[in-house]
Amino acid sequence: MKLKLRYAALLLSGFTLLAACSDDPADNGNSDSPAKDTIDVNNFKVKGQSFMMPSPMQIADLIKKSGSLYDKGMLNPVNNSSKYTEAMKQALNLGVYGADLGYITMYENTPDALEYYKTVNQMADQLKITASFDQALMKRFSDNIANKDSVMVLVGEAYRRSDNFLRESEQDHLASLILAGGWIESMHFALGVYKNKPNEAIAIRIGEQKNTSAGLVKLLKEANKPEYAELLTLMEALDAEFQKVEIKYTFAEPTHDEGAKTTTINGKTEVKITPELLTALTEKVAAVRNYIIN
Amino acid sequence: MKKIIALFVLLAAVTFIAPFSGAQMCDQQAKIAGAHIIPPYVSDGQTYRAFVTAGQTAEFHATFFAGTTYRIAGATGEGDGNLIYSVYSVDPNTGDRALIFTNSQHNNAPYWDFKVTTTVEVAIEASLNPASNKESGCAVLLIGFKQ
Repeated sequence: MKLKLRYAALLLSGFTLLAACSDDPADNGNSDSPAKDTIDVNNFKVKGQSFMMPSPMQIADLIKKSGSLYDKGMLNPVNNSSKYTEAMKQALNLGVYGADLGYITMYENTPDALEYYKTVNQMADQLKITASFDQALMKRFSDNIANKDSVMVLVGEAYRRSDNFLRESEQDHLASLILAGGWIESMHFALGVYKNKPNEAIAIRIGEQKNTSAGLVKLLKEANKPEYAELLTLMEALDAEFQKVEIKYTFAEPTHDEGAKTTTINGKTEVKITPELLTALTEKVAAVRNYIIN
Repeated sequence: MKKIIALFVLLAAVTFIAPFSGAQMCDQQAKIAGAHIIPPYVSDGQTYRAFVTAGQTAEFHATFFAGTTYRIAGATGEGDGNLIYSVYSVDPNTGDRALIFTNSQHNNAPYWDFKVTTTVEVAIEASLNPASNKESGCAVLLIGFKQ
């Protein structure tokens, strides 16, 4: 019996080693990698999102604070949802409609919020992730529809549960598409608002997406799906423009408040983004969005 | 012959079961960390996770935007305090890193808040608490932002 267990242990070790050695060649020689024993999460069977995408609600909040008025014309019309019959477009547009819902929530437009929540629910159903948008959540959403803060929490929670569900079921590629759709829609809002009423705070926030853009392209490449080719080409063209943004960062010591369990991150970041570059970004984002929603 | 059949059965079991058990083991940690992302914090809608063994470090990248307060919550194993995580600022041009925070200096706090005065690229490293004597586990990080 001991011998058999030893065989089993050896076999398990072998598989563990095989899994650990299945590195993605694209990541070899990455100069950013620290010298110590570090894992790139995407190389492991238990995959993860190795970089954080900003929540569409954060961008929507900035847009509202800029004084921009609610504009339903910026949203992807809900009747477009019947056009999305493939999982790829369904996932991308689940992200788009989620960002739309975030935008609507910021402006507290109850009828539109209900309409878009139903569409989000329908898209999630098509992707078989309804458990994340279950009846209990739907009821909480309806009960709290007039309370912006509660709706934000519920939407954030529903999307986190969807993300978790897709990663648990080894559908990371769909989780990445939801993030991509949400981010593109956020950029569409931000650039649309800038175009109508140029605002330095929004221009800077757009420029600060440089790293997110690069990370998203990497994520889509890692999915290694032939059907993503057109999307990837459009995203790479967009990223080429984003990489022209100049960012300079100066570190300063953080301050810690043990009692409040809070650290204040100090320092200074300067972002240089020209009006011409913003125009180019507007065109490239429009190209990606048109591909996604049509 | 029996030994060969037993080996084949074991091989098949490991091949088909291992990938699923690895993925599903993160669900509990996501729930433990999720208990700390509560109002006024809103989840960013993502789950950051990696399977780590003792001595290894998983790394996640994020942009923290100026004017926002973020909460990072982490978990591994069956309860709070088993995950060590550190947050570094990353210079976007040179890649130079500077330590901003490590929960190992704060009683392995399962969550911590970050007030961001300037937009900064960060790298978050996560590893198993050596004191837990765990060989491996799923490291989960969740990020929320304050409304």
